[in-house]
Amino acid sequence: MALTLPRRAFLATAGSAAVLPSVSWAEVGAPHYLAAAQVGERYRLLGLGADGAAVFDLPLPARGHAAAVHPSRAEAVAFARRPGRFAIVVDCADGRISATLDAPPGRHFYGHGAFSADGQRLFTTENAYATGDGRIGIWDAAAGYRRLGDMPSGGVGPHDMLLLPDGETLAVANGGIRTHPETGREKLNLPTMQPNLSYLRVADGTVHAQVGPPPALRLNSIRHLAVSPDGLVAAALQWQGEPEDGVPLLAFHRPHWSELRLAEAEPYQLAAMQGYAGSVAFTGGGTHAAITSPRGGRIMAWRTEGGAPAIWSRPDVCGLAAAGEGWIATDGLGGIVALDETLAPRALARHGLAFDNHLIPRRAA
Amino acid sequence: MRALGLALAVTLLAPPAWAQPDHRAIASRTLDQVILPGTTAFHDAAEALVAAAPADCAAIAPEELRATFQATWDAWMRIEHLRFGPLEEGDRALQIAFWPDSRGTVGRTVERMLAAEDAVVDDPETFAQQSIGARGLPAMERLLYDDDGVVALEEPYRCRYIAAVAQDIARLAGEVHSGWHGPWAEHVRTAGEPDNPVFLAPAEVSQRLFDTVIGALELTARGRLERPLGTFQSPRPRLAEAWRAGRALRQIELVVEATDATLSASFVPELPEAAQATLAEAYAGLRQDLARVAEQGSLAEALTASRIRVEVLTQRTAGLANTIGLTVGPSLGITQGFNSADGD
Repeated sequence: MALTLPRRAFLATAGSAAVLPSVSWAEVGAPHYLAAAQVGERYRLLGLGADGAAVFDLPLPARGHAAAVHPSRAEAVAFARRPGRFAIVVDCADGRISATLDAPPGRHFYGHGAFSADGQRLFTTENAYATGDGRIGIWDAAAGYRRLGDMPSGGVGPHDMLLLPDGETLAVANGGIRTHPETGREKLNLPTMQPNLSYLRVADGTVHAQVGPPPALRLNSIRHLAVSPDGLVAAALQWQGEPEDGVPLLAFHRPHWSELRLAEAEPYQLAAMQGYAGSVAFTGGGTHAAITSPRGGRIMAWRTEGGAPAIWSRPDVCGLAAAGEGWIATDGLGGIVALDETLAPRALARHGLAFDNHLIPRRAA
Repeated sequence: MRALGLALAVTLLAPPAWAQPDHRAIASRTLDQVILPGTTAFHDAAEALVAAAPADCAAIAPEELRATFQATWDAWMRIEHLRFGPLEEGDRALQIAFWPDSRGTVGRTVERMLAAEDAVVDDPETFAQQSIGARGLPAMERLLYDDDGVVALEEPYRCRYIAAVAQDIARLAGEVHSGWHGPWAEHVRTAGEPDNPVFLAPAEVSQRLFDTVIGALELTARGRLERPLGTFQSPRPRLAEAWRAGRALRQIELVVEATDATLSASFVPELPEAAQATLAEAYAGLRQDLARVAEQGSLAEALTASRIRVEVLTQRTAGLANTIGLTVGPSLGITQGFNSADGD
């Protein structure tokens, strides 16, 4: 699992130490995925090949959550787990931290971010915790990640965020749950929480569409997002009621739809997910979408047009990303498993570590 | 509390003085001593239930049918905690015994079937597709017992329905049996070998067994005890599992026996003596607590006569799950989930 750097990558990095890294993804072994992990008491950021083997393995200073992957440079922004106040830009060629993003006073990060299509801007989900307003931080990725400003996220507790295929729209999962660093991860507003999925124009921050769960599912926090090649958004939800309530945990949406379309299943099948979806991903072609539940130790997958789900069981499974017309899943046991669209499994690798929540595709799948 | 925390930290930091656990041996022993004989016994019991449940009321010996039904549920309780493989595929465990049933699905569904005299009971294949609330052991409980005791088996439809449920349980028991005696025994024995799609390392079988034992005890504390406990002002004995069939305490007793049998076959031989003694003591204590509740009669009677004993049993059941976690986990290098332990 040790990192073997291609010679060219090393030379390129060594020769440009003072400037931004210009190493391409191909030169660091062209990882297909990035994942944060815990090894003993230490934290790592791994680049993984399509076969689950590590193509790089870099130290992180604290527990990571998700990462935003630069569209062209071999550079990943690894976010601390919420309520983190920093994010680090990792040069994936040599593991050097090439920049650090500090949350402005009164802010903390939520653990996710997204680049603009041209790689010039980085957007980060943030909490202005004095008021509880969700904000989107804007950073200049072309100039050492200087803070440029921010804009409203369209709700409370923005968590995951992604750029839609049009390159002009950010979809933001406003989880609706207010927290404050002084009370850690404690949920402060469950009686009034209102999650929503907001669509923000990258150019000016205008919220041009917004949708929430139906009133009976107000406690379903919209948390993680995936998008299909043709722009269908899938949202993974986390239910704040009882785990055995068996409510839907996957929703589909397009900006012009007036409502979320919930992926249905038998209540007992949903109850087995323990009210908690950790990650969501489409297949490469976007015909199916799946959610993971580490608490239920299960994955459920649906055709995007509906129907009964496929179900597969794997303890502590959480990370999920597209792999051809199926998926690849990572778990807290260090396992990496390939799944076809019916969730038939094929073991790929098992590393001596615990993969953290997310598996980030290097390119939006 | 402080001293206890310190002692625990020292225990966790101390390097293991014994050999690495043999995960393959753990898997083999559990298969041979618990899983394979347990699934065979359940399959046999379910076949006997079919034989005791003819569709014609006149051909039924009610006492024998009820005794066979109770024996089938006993056999089920010896394997129901093994929630992986054939019991998890297609949610077979829930098809065999839908529980916890917090919405009262079984009662409502069985009532509806009886009222409509739905003819699906005459076709096994269609019946197998019916709602989970219409089938399985809890549905049969509703057909054999009501709130006041046993039900007379005289209405023709009821007897046809009972026969259908028995056959469906036997079908599922057959699938569980062939699943375990076929591909899943192979998956367990070849854990960690290339092409094993389920267990990526021998330790993963141990992890599953560890999770199932702890999960069964936690669920028992929560669902089989805390729910009927309710509050001091309003205990809820009718939320107990299988109380109509008089099994509310028996279910708990059998979970205790099944988890003990699984631990004894799997992990105990790999543990240092002190850890073995800790587990034995914890189980002995829990059996005493159970006996003290059983002295009062049924769980419902115990809730009225000596609520405190039921409270103690509840705490000790949850405590046993905790003790197993702390005793077995570190010794075998097994931990509870990394991602499942906290949120995002």
